[in-house]
Amino acid sequence: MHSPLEQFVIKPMFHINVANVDISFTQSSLWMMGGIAFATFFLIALRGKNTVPTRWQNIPELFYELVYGMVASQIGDKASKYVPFIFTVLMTVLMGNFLGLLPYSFTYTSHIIVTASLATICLTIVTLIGIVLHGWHFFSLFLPKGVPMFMAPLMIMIEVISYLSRIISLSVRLFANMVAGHTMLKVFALFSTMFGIGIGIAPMLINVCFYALELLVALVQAYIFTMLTCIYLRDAVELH
Amino acid sequence: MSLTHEELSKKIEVAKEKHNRKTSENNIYGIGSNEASMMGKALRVGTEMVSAILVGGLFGYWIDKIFDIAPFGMTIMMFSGFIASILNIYRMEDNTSSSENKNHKNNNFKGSKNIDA
Repeated sequence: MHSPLEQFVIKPMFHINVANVDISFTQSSLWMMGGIAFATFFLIALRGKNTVPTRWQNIPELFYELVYGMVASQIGDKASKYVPFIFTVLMTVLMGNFLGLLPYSFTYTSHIIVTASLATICLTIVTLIGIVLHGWHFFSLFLPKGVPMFMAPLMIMIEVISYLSRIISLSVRLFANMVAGHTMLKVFALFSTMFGIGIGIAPMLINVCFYALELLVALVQAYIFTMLTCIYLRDAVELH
Repeated sequence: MSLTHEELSKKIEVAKEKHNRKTSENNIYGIGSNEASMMGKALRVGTEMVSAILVGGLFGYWIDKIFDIAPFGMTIMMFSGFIASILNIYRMEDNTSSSENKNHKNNNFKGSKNIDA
């Protein structure tokens, strides 16, 4: 009997060893590259310059408007500078979630190392943007206005913990949702194979419903990830 | 198909207004994005709390290792992590309400309709 968690096992495709460090090309790397290639070709192939968009041209413009609206609702007039960054984040997460729902595929966002790296990169970029815009003044983010001086050490400690916890909450949320959803799909699929053709139809029908739910979860989780990155970006750009 | 730029933007404006009116009407009666957003917020609270305590615990462990003051670093930092987690949740409510206010100002973008989960 297969384990429902077997789908998350990383399998190397080419073994590469550089100075005793294993940097093998795994199926996870393959799907990451596939996701990026798909997103890139999809967006380039469907781009158009008509003032009145055709149906196909509408698809990339829909995503662009979604991201632009998201950034503009947080940052306002200066939003367009940050749109490429946020757009890349959305596409990376979205492709990971969506391509993972194809049969025989692998969900690279179901590994905490991937989501944690992604969240760390996002938060580092946001912090660097804040430092570039405000210089040393950026660190006043960690001390709210009107705090008495004797409270300052405690407040700074708490604010720093709160700031760092963003990485964990971002990454754990995406990772947990993906793992839970895919495990559930697999468990019901296993019920189907156990019960055979007669009663086995029932878990299959439930699985169809869960699959629709998983599509929604994939979209919503990607949206949440980017939305929260936008909120953090606003904190860094506006400083209170 | 010979629309000038102004005519087109006027047309888009009208269509968007119609769309907005329709969706806001739906929100009053049906299960709108409002309820989905409440659900999302409820699910977010859990991770926000746990993550801050986890970061506090990690910090404490690290301090214990460096300064060799075995239980104290972790105890103090975990309590600070707890305080930070409450702060996170307080901030979350703050953030969403302010972003909703901003959305009303420029809700001609599709994306600014916020399912801020």
